[in-house]
This record gives sequence, structure tokens and C-alpha cells, in this order.
Amino acid sequence: MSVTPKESGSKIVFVTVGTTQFDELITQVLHPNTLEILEDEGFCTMIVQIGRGVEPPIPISRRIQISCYHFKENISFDMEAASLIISHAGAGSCLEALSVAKPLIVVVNQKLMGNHQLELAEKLHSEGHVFMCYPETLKTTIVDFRSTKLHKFPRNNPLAFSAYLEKLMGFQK
Amino acid sequence: MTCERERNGYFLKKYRLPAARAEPLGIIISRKRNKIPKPMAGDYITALLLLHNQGMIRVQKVSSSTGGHTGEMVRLLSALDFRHFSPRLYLVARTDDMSAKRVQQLESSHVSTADSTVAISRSREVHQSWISTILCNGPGTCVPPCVIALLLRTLFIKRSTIVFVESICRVTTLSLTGKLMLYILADRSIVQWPELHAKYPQTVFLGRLV
Repeated sequence: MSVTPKESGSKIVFVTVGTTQFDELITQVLHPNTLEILEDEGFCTMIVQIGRGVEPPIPISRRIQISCYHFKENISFDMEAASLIISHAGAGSCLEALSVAKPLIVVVNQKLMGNHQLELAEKLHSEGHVFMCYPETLKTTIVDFRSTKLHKFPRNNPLAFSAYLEKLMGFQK
Repeated sequence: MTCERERNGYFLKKYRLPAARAEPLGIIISRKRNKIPKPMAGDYITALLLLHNQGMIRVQKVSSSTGGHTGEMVRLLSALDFRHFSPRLYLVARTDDMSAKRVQQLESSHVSTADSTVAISRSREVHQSWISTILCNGPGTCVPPCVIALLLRTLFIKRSTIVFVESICRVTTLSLTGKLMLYILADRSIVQWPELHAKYPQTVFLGRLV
């Protein structure tokens, strides 16, 4: 049953909702049509991180193998292993996915009140670093994703902050 | 991690280093959701006084229940020289186990690499130990401690520097907390997008930090 990705040499799609509850995304991702598109793309494994959401029924006896969990202390391994990441629009998840330089589809949760996540998602989308979509348009986005190339996201600079704070507090560098 | 005291349902927890150093590394103030009201000003004062008695708290982190702010803060702190900013205090909601875990991860990763007996840099002797940095990045829960810190500074009780880092989520608009911080509370407000810096020139722009 459990085949490690390396043994099968398979393409993995990783779905994450961070610490939120985003059942619409999970439902869409596990929709037979979506799974079929992913299977046609050559994906053999899907790992779904469902956060605070309710555990969905896992479709079995498909070509794509699906596993799901609520939380993990460190999801970077799953991100590293994936060749496509589908994420909610949370800044943490997006930035983590971008830092491992994987193709990223950002799905915006329209049910969030005063959705400030949208600001970042739109910015990243307009600069061509990610694909942004809504749960309903996920399927078409996965199809589009094949033909379009994403721009690499520039690395961040945490040392600038460290240096700034040191200077501000009077430490000599 | 030991539970130091329980007061009105709030827990003040102290982290201790596993081996070499015995001084407390950080304190977590937390609460049970829905069972008791939000922390009152008095709780923050208690926390700050506790810090004051301990001498030199340098970095304080305030987080709400969402993983995003914690994630950003952990990324910010990861590049920081922990020997200069020590000990550290973190404010985390009690319901937020994930954040607490990430903070613990961050702390333990630094413990293993940092030499705890290293000589303190010269410049630190120049500055009195009771100058502290309060670092916060967004959720509204970081406002009360900052108000109190400002009050204590105004009354010449405790000097502190408040540094606010606006969340990476904010590309073109400042959050309400961000505006409060920029105009009233914080000594420095850092933004992470040039668009936002152009709109609010008083802010500091250092590039993308997280």
C-alpha cells in the first residue's frame, strides 16, 4: 500500500491549508474531475494537509494515491518532495512554497472576512510568481498551469533586518 | 517547560535551557479561549514587571492565533544574533499550540548552535541592560503591551524600543494595527513592499525580510 515517492519515482502534488479550515479547497482537490486532470498530468501521489478542516472521504482505487493529515510539525519535507503545490493564500504557506521554488497554485478563500490575504496573492500573481484562483476555478488553473512558465521569486533578506536591529540597539557590527 | 504560576487562568511559563545555561529564555503568557476574557492590561503589566525584575529582556514577540504571524516572526528572528537579544520573551495565545511549538523549535535550534559561554560584545556593556526591544508584527494583540511599554517609558520606569514589522501580506495598505504603530506607538515601523513605503514615507523599507 504505502509506496515511498522515491521507489515509485512518482510526481507528487502537495495540498496545504496551513492552520486554517478551508474545506472548499479540499473538496475541490478531491473532486473526481480534478483527480483525473492530475492523473493525466502524470501525478501518482497526492498529499493533503487539511489543517482544522474535517477529514474528507478519501477516494480509493484510483491511479493517484491520496493520503491526508491535519498537522505536521514540519511540512518542508512534503514541500521539497512535491512537483506541484496547491496552497491556501496564507502568507506563511505561500512563502514557504516559493522558497523551495516549486510551481505554486494559490487558492483564495472567499469566505474569509476582510480578506487581506488577497492583497499578497494578487501581488504575487501579477508579478507572475504564482497562479491565483478560487476553489471553483482550480480545475481550469491546473490545466493552464502546464503551458505557462512562472518567474522565480527573489530570495528574501533576513540579514538586513538583523543588521538594522543591531544598529538601532547600538550593537556594533 | 515548567508552569510557573497560574493567575486568573493565565499561565506564565518559563522556558529553561536544557543544560548549560540556567537563566530563563522566554516566558509564554497564554489563555484558555472562551473560558475567560482576553488578557487585561494588568496581565501585561505583570508580565512587563516580571521582565523588569529579570533585568534584560530584549526581544518580545506577540502573536495571535494564526500561524502566519508566527511564521513571519520566526523567519524574522531566525537571522537575529540571540546572544545580543537575550533573554527573549514570547507572547502566544494558549490555544495556539502550533505557534508555541514553532517558537520552541526556533529556540532549540539556536541553543544547539550558539555558544552560551561566549564573551559578551563590548557595545553591550555600554548600553544598560534594562533597555529592551519590543518586536511585533501585526495582530491586534500586540497593541496593549506596546501601550504599556510606552507608558512605562513616559514615566521613566523602563526604557524600551518598539519595532513594528508590517506583515508581508500588506502590499498597498497598512493594517489598523500598522497605522496605530506607525503614528503613535512604534519607534520604527518596517514595511516589506516598496508600494507601501512610497505611500507611507515615514516607514523603513529594507526589502523583503521574511
